[in-house]
Parts: sequence; structure tokens; C-alpha cells
Amino acid sequence: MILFDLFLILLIAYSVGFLYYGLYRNITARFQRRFGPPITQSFYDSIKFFSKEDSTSHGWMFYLGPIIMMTGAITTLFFIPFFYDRADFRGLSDYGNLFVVLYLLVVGPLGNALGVGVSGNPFAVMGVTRGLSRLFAMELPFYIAVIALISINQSADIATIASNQHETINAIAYPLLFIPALFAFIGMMGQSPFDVVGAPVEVYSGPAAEFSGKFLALLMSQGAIFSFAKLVLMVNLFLGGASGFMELLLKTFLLFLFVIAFGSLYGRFKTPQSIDFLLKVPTVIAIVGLILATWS
Amino acid sequence: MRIINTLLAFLSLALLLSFWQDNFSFYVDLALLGLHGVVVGVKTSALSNVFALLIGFSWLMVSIASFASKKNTHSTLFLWLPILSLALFLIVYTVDYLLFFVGWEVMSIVSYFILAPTLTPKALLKYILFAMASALALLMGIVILYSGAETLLYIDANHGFTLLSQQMKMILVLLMLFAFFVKIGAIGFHYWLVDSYAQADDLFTTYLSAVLSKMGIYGLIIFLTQVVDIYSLDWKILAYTIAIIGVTTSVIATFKAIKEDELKRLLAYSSIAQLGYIVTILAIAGGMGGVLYHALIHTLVKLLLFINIASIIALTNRSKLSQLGGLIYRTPHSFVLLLIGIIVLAGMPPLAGFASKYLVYTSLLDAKMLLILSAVMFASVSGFLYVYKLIYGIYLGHPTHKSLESVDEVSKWYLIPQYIIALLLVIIGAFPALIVPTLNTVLVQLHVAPIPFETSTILESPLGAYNGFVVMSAFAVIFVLVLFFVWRVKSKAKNVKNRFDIAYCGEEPTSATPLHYGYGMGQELQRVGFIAIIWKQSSASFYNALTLMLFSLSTRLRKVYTGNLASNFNWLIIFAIFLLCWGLE
Amino acid sequence: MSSIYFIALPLLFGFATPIFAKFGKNGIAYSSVLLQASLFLLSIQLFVTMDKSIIEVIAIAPPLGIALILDNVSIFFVMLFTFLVLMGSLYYLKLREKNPYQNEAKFFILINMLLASAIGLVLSSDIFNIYVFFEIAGISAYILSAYRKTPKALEAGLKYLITGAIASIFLVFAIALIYLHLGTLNLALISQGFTALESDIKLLISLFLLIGFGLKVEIFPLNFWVTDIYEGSDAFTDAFFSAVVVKAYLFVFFHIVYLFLPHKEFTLFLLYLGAVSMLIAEIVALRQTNLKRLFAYSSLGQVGLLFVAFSMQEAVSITAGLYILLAHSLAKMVIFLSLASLFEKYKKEDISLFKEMNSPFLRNIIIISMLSLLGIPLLAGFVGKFLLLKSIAFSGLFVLLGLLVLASLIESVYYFKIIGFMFSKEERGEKFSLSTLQRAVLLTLTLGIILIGIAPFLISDFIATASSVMIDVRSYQNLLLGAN
Repeated sequence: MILFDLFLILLIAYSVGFLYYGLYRNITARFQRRFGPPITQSFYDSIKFFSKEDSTSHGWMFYLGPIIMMTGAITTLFFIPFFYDRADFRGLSDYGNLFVVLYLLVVGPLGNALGVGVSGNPFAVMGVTRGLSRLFAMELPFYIAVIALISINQSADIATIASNQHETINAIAYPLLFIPALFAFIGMMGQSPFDVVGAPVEVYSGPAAEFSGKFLALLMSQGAIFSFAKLVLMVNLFLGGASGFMELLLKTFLLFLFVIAFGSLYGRFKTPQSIDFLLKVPTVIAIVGLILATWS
Repeated sequence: MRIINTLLAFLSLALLLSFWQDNFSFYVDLALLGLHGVVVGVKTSALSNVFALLIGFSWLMVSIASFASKKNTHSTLFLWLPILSLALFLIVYTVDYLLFFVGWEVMSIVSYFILAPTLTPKALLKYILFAMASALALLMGIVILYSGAETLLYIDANHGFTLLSQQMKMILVLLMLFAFFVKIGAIGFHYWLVDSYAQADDLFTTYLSAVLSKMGIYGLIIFLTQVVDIYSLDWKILAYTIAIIGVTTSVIATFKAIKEDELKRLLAYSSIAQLGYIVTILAIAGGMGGVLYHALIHTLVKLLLFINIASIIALTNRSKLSQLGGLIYRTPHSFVLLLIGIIVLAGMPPLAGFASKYLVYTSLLDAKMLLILSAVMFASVSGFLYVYKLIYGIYLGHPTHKSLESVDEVSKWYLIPQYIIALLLVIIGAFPALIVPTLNTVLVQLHVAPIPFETSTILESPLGAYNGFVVMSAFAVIFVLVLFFVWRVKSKAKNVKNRFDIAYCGEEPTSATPLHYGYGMGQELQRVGFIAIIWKQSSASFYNALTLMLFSLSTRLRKVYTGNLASNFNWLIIFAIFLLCWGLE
Repeated sequence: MSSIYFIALPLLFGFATPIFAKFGKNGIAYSSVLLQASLFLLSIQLFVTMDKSIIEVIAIAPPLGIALILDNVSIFFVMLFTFLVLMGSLYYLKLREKNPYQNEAKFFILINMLLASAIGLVLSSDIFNIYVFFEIAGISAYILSAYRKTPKALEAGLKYLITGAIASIFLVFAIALIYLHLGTLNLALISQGFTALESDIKLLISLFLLIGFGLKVEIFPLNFWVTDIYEGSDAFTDAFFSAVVVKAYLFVFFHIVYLFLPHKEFTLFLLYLGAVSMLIAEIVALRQTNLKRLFAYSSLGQVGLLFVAFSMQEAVSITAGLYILLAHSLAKMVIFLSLASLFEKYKKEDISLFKEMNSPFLRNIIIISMLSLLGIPLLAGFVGKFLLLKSIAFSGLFVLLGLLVLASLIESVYYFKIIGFMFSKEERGEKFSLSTLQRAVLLTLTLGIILIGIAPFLISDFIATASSVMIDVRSYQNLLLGAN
């Protein structure tokens, strides 16, 4: 039963993830006054890559990188419940809690960093370095917001936090927690202005530099799944969670839309700039929010 | 020598485990010294057993690893190590402050003799002066406490403490905190620690980090819970101060570690940071479980990491990240073991490190120390950077020297202890509550609330539980499935023999291209304001100024002793006049 | 009549030297050693048969005449002094083979005079006799320090002579005043009558006594001459100065303080004087490079510590003081004797000597002695230090406690600097090994340090009794006068 549940969760995350990815490419294209590819293009791409052979290899650890990343993404997904009041689609969330999810969020990227590191490509490692440097700055405001939520709800259970919001959602009740979390979330989704890690297009670098074929496909797929997992987490924490598929899709899509719209509007920060910004503005807001929210 | 040493280690561990449940005590009356009614002695208790286990286990592991070197290179080390361990056992088993002090001083002095052959004179002097300062502060504190309690036993110390005046209480607390913070290497008092760790015999560094630093924690536990009763309302400010010192230590040490290029210095700072977490939660009532858990995990993981690094240094004769690189396929076992080590150090699920971090976080949350928790999590996440740097610098990337391409796997004597520890860490990861019943006996002894316990797979906390077994098996099963899936998709890729065959701006790098520059990661953080400040500041300037002051004072006072009798008799006359005036009054 | 032997025999030794010289060129040396050994055995025999009672030897019946009192505390000092001098002489037996003193007969006479006068100081029970031994000790010490006749040695001898003369003047003044006003020289009688004196006279007497003895017990600020003497003299003689002579003066001084001046205010002053003395000596020692000077400052520091211990005027702290005194004497003996050999071997007195030193045996025993001086547990120094700090804390003198701890910390700075030199990785000098006899001497002393450290209860009864006797003024008076 639970296996079937998990399979469905994976299937939904995979398809919705790619759907969103397709939409993302379309919407950013419109922002840039061009027409993007068909929505299903990314999905086809990933299928195609799976059937392509990869050109180079740097040993077993190199292969393990994307695999760990995929594992991390799926595990994260399984520990986040889709709905706060339904017995199904809870995945494994009863066995873990928010702390587990917070840490699982970074397992994948770190695993991938190993695979990237072994490739010996200095540009790829540059991406990893940027990612790790940015990571702690990004996580700080997010963690503060999450700590505040856990403290307010006296529970680290995601479903409980989601269900405690039926009167007002946390985003409205605690805007000073939501705003910094949102900044961090933009970074987590790899959007501008915090997207120097992948640095698409301009810089010939980033963690994915050495991967091709099925491993690139694996990276793409995990990206889709992982994005969806993060969206669901954010919805659960701040947007009141969901009790049905329509609500879940609507809320995640709105959040996603906001993120990519925001990302399209802003230029990119350099790594130190983004660390500096994240440690100043959102962190200070989050600390104020934390104090206001928990002062009693 | 090392065989005897190993046998002793094994014997002590075996004795400890076989008499785990038994109570043993032995007391001596000091009446013979003119101190009537003063009793000193040793006694087994749950707390001391746990710490003794850490000592015995670390001793055995280090001893096993010592067989790796062909010659008996560490002969002085193994002469002293049994004595050192004996002193440590004395520290944990004693029930009074006199024997504690004896153990403490013997520990410091014996360590000095172990360190002496390898350290530079300056580092050696730094080590021993801090150790002496610590010991003297401890001695002064003990004597003050003794004057209040009129006995040296821990159990009566609390009563004696309440008899002291408020002012003396504060002085006593400051002295004792100083004594223990020096050993732990809390920030500001860590000036000696990094150099000593870096220059000590590689195996002794393991022991230093795994065990000796824990003695500071043990001393703090005894002092804060048995003597001061830190969790009472009167000492709330002190508790907050300790927590803030702890977390500041963690944050600063983490960033210092990020900047380091030398393997052992990096891990030394990492040690400081990890002990900072322990100090932080030591200050809160619900944190004792986390303290013990984290102390245990940290001991294990530092044993693993330092032995691993010792093996790499022995193999390559290089001790800097910038001189290593690309060893993964030469020493795959070491790589995997270090990987396990850093996963635990970073506190990642599904291994044991997460369990202890989980207790740290939830206890802070439960105590409503939310800002401190934020800082702890910040330090913890920043730590990813240096753990990645560590594994990247040694094993990943490109070899920086030809000699690195022809080395073989490290000696099996290094691998055996590492595998034992790694196995333990994996088991504890899957069954995070396995050690909870043992820890709970300690918590009951210390009169703090035990950790809730149902089954060994679920680690409970006031804010929710997590099932370590499910997390680990989910991770493992998904990993295997993905691996299987990828395996099935056809691939004709060949393992490139030419390691320069990488995507590199459309050019082909040569052996002259510095491809390993990733070891310097983290340097760009220099441009972030507060990190630059942390990196620039050093307690060295403070201690240098202190030394300078003392020396100039010495020069000035030296002028009293001019050696010129005529002028010297002025002193006599001044003294006589002073006495006369004082007497007339 | 046995306690008179301790003074008479070494003094008579001088007259007998022509006879001993007949037994060949080693005759005097061996007979001196034999004398000291028999004195040591005698003191042990006395100690064993003493049965905690007190022996008294009277030449002329007190209060008029001379009385020597051998009680539980003076037997401690007699045993210690004879033992240390014996050890020193044994050590010298080998030292003289390479670098003998000129005119050795005189040297042996002087050493024995030093021993006699040190014991005399401890045993004497009237103040004039104390003055006589004060002078004998002084004269033999002046000559001993100038014995090598190098410029530095002569300078040291001269300085010692001048300072000693001044100290004697003050002491004589004090004695004269006492005799003028009380009409007696007997310690017990003085002690009974002293409180009745006018306060001005009391002040003057205490001032003279303090300065007279202060110069000799090396207390700040009257210790300005000490380091020059140590530097100028041989390390071998320094061993006796540091381990024997100062200790005798210290005992006499505090004996007089307990008998005459047990005022709380005064002793409080002495307490802080001791602490300041220690602190200043340790700070100055920080930058010393000449080893003899360095250990001279270290001695000054230890004397300060002893001053604190004896000024507390409590049985426990005096016990502590005796432990510290014992530990210090043993350790300084080891250090100065080893230095004597090392100076001779490596021809330098600089601190860098220890970088060059290549003798694991000497390294180990010097380290043990130094650690004992620092008060490291399981060595002799710790017992005394702990008891002292304990009794200070029990008296509530926390500032004093802080001062002493600070001084100990500074002390450890230069001790560990030296120990660090011994582990220096620089090129070592020539290998150096001592003769078996010298090793045995040093080893005996070092084993003493270790044994007292590990098992202080072996001598704790004895020392506790000694300290209670030392502070018990009334029974001393009764003893001295009751014998009338």
C-alpha cells in the first residue's frame, strides 16, 4: 500500500515537475519577448538523453554523483506530505519531520558535488564552491523562519504546521518570516538574482559541466522532482498546505510563477554579493520576524 | 612497546565492559595529611562509565592504528599513552576535586612530554602555559570551593557552594569556566590548541581531539550540574552567557576552518566548532542528552577523520590540501571512510551525525533559545564548505604531484579501526535510539529529564521524533533502485585514461595547468564583510601584547636588582622608613 | 648531650684536618664525608629514639647560660641539613677529581662550619647564641662565595660581606635593645616579657630584627644582593646557600616571630610581603638568561612562598611550609649540583646550555625537580602547595590566593621555557654522563622528591608534629624555663 503511494507521489512529482519546467521555459521566453519551446520539450529532452550514450567517464564516483542527487531528491519528496488532512499521499512523512527534510534538501547537492569534484574539471568545482558558499547564506534566513514556525506550532511535523493554518495562512500571519524565506526559496530554486551556481548560458561552468547522456537526464529529472518537492514544502509551511490536488497544484503553481517572474526581472548577483545580501536584508528581517513572532 | 600498549588498551576496555553494571568504590581519608574528615576516592557511575568508554575505545583505536608504521616511530608516545589514559580514567572515576586535579595535571604534563619531541618551541610553550593556567585556575577554584564546603567531594560541593558569598561564587565560576574552556578551546582560549593539534604526532592528535578535549566537557558537566546547579533560575544569565560563548565558538571556528589549507589545522578548528555545540547545549536543562550524544559521536568521528588523515600523511608525506588531490582511485577504502566521516561530521542523515545534531537542535528549540539555535544551524550549514573542501582537496580533483599517482592503498592497520568506527556510525545512524537507554542512566544520575525512549529506531524529542531506520532504508532502497535503473540504460562510455580530457573552455589543459585550484575554495568569502573580520581577527595579538607587557614589566622590575650595593641600600632605607611609619601608626 | 655533637664535631673538624691530611690526599675529603654521614646517622638515631619527647642539652643552666633545644621541629632541620650536606659532599668527591678547589682543606673546613652554624641557628635557644651562629654562618658563606677568586667571585664575596655586616649591625642593635630593656637573652624569657615593653621600643626592636633577618632570609626588598652572590659563587656552593643556609635563617626568623611578635597585623604584613616578594622575583626571572641568576630568582620566589606559609601562624600552613621547604631544598640541591657538573662540562652558564646538554639522565632529573618546584601533583612540591593554598582560602585571604596563583603561573613560564630548551631539536653537544656516585646522589634526592609526592603520608605524622611544636610557644617556654 505504502509502496503504491510512494510510486504515485513520485509519478506526480515527476510529471508535474516537468510540466512546470516546460512552463518556466515558456514564461521566461515571453518575458524576453520570444516564443519558447513546447511545454513538453523538456520531458522529451530528458527521455532522449536517457537513450544517449555518455561520452566521458571519470570512474565510479563520477557516476555516483548524479545518482546520489537523484536519491536525495526522491527521499526529500517522500518525507514531505502532499496534504495535511488526508491519509494518502503522506509518503514517509510520519517517520521524519522538518529537521530531516531540511537536511535531506542538501544531501543531493552535496552528493553531486562529490561526483563533480572527481571529474577534475575546475570549472565544475567552481560551481560547487559557489553553491556551497551561497548555501549557508541562503539557509540562514530560511532556517530562522522555519525555527520560528516550529516554535510557534510546538511541532516539527510538517502536516501539523500546515493544518494549523486554516484561519490565516502563515504568509499573512507572519509576513516578516515569509519574506526572508521567500528570498531564500528563490535561491533554492536556482533563480536570479541568486543563480550564479549554475550560471546558465553565460559562463561555461557549473556542476553539470562534465555530465552527458543518461547522467544529464538524471540531473534534469531530479531537478524537476526536487523543484516540485521544494514547492510543496514551501506551500505546506507558509501557504496553508493543501487538502486536494487542485489546491496543491494551484498554490504550487502560483508560488512557482512568482519565483520565475521575480527571477526574470532581476540580474544576477556575484557569489559574495549574494552572500552579503542574504546575510543582511533577509536575515535581519527574519530575526525581527522571529522575535516578533515568538515574543510572549 | 606498542604491543604492550595495545594489550593494555584492550584490557582496560574489556574490564570496563565486563564490569559495566557493577558498582565499585574506594575511599581514602586524608587525616594523615592533617586534613581531618576529608575523604577522597574513586567510584563508578553511569556518567564516568560513559566517558571511560570513550577513553578506552579511543585508546584502543589509536593503538591499533600505530601498527601501521613499520618502525616503532612513536616509541615515546606509547611509553606515555598508558600513563595518560590512566590519568584520564582517574579524572572520570574520581568523586572529589583533589584527585580530579591530580588527574588533570598529570594529563597536562604527560601530554606535554608526548608533544615535546614534535612541536616547535613556541607552540610547545603556548600549550603548556595554557595548560598551566588552566590547572592553576582549577586549583584556585577547587581551594575556594573547598573553603566553603570543607570537603572535596562533588556531592557536598553544592552545599559548600551555596555558603560562599555572591562575589566569591562569581569568581569561582569564572575560574572554573576558564580552566575548562582552555581545554575545550573555546574561542579566545584556543590560541594554543590549533598549533598543538597541527604539530603533534598524527596519532596523538587523534587522541587529543577525541579524548582530551572531552575532559573539558566532563569537567564542565560535573561543575555546572553538581556544584553550581546551572539550571536553576539564579544562574540564568550565566547559562545564557555559556550558550553564547559556545555558539560564538562554533561560528568563528567554522569560518576559521574554511580558510585553512593544512589538514590537521582544519580538523582542529572543526573540533573547536563541534565542542562549541556541546558547550551551547550544556547550558540548557534539556540539553544534557544532546551533550552526551554529541560528545560520543564527535569522539567517534574525530577518531575516524584523524586516523584517516594520519594515514594519508604517512602515505604521501604531505599535509596540505594544496599539495594533495586525486587520490580517490589510488586509495578507495580511505576515500569511502573519509566520506562516511564527513557525512557524520556535517550531521547529514542517514548516518549518526544527524541524530546528535537533531538532539542539539530540538533541545535548543525546546528551551526557546531560537536565535542561538539559528546561529548553531548557520554554523552547522557553513561547515559543509570545509568538509567538502577536506574530501575534495585530498581525494578529488587532480593530483598535484606525480608521486601521488603511484601510491597504493594505506596500511590495513589504519583501515581496521576506521572500519570499526564507520560501522558503529552506520549502526547508530540506523538505530539512533540504540544508545539512549545507556545515556538515560547518566541523565537520571545527573537529575535531568531523560530522553523519551520506545524503540531503538526512533529518536524521540519534545518536538517530534524521527525514525532513523526508515530514513536510512528509504535512502538505501532508492539509491539501489536508481543505480539499477541507470545500470540498465545502455552505456558505451569508456573510462578516460587521460585525466585531462575534460570540458575546459574548448582547450585541452596540460600537466602544467593548475587544475587542482579548487582546494582554495572559500577564499572568495574574504569579500563578505563579517567573514573577513573573523579571518583577520586573531587572539594572537592579545596574547602577544600580554607577553610584551609582562616582559617589559620584567625589565623594569629588574632595575631593582642593579647589582650596585650603594644604590641598593636605598631600598633598605626606604623599607625601614616605610616600616617605621607603618609601625608608628 | 648528643645534640651538641652536631655543632661541636663539624667545628672541631677544622682543628683535626692536619691529622686527616696524613691519610693521603683524599684523607680530608673522606673524613669530612664520614663525619657528615655519622652526623646524619646520629640525627636519624635521635629521631627514632626521640619518641615525641623533647631533648634538651644544657651547657650552663638557663636563663643565664646556653641551651640547645632539640625538639620535633629542630630534628627535622638537623636531619635535612646533615642529609643535604652529606649528599653535596658525596657529589663533590667526584667533582674534585676534575676541578678541585684550591687549598681543599680550607674548603672542607668551611663547609663543615656552614653545617655547624646552620644547625646551631636551629638549635640555639638564646638570642646571643643565635647571633654567634649568624656570624659564623655568614663568615663561612662569604669565604665560600669568593673561593674561586675570579673577579665575579671576589665581587660576590665582598658584597656578601658588606650586606652581612649590615645585617649583623641591625641584629646586634636589636639584641642590645632587648638586653637593655629585659635584661635577658633567653628566648623564652624575652617572649614572656616582650609584650610588656613600651610600644616604641617594641617597634624599634621588631624593625631591627626584621631588617637584620630580612637581609638574610632574602625577602623583598632586602634581597637585592642575593642574585649577585649566586651568580658569582660556584653552582656547587649555591646549592648549599639555597638548600641549607636560607632555610636555617628562615626557621630562626619565624621562631622569633612566633615567640615575640605574634601580632595579627604584623603577620598580615609579612604575608603580603611574602606574596609580593614571590611575584616580583618570578616576574624578574622571566627574562634572565644566566642560569645561576635565574635559579637565584626562583629561590627568592620560593622563599616568598615559604614566608607566606610560615606567616599564616597556623599548624596546617606551617605543615605546608615544611613540605614546601623540604621539596624546595631537595629540588634546588638536584638542580644546582647538576648545574655544577654541566657548567664544568660545557663551559657556559647561559640558558642555552640546556639546548646543548646531551644527557638524558640529567635532563630527566632536572625536569622532575622543576616540576616539583612548580607544584605538580605526584611530586613533593604539590603537597605543600595544596595545603598552603587550602589554609589561605580557609582564612578568607582570597587576594593573597590570587597573587600566589599568578606568581606560580609566571614561574611556570620560565621553567617551561627551560624544559622546552631541553627538547630542542637543534644539534646537541657532546654526550655527557655522570659517574655512578654522582648519579646515585642525584637519584637519591630525586627519588625523595617522587616518594614524598606519591606517598606524603610516610612523613606526614612527623611533619604535622613538627609544625604543632613549632607554633606552640607556651610549651617551648615551659620547656626552656622548666628545666631551670
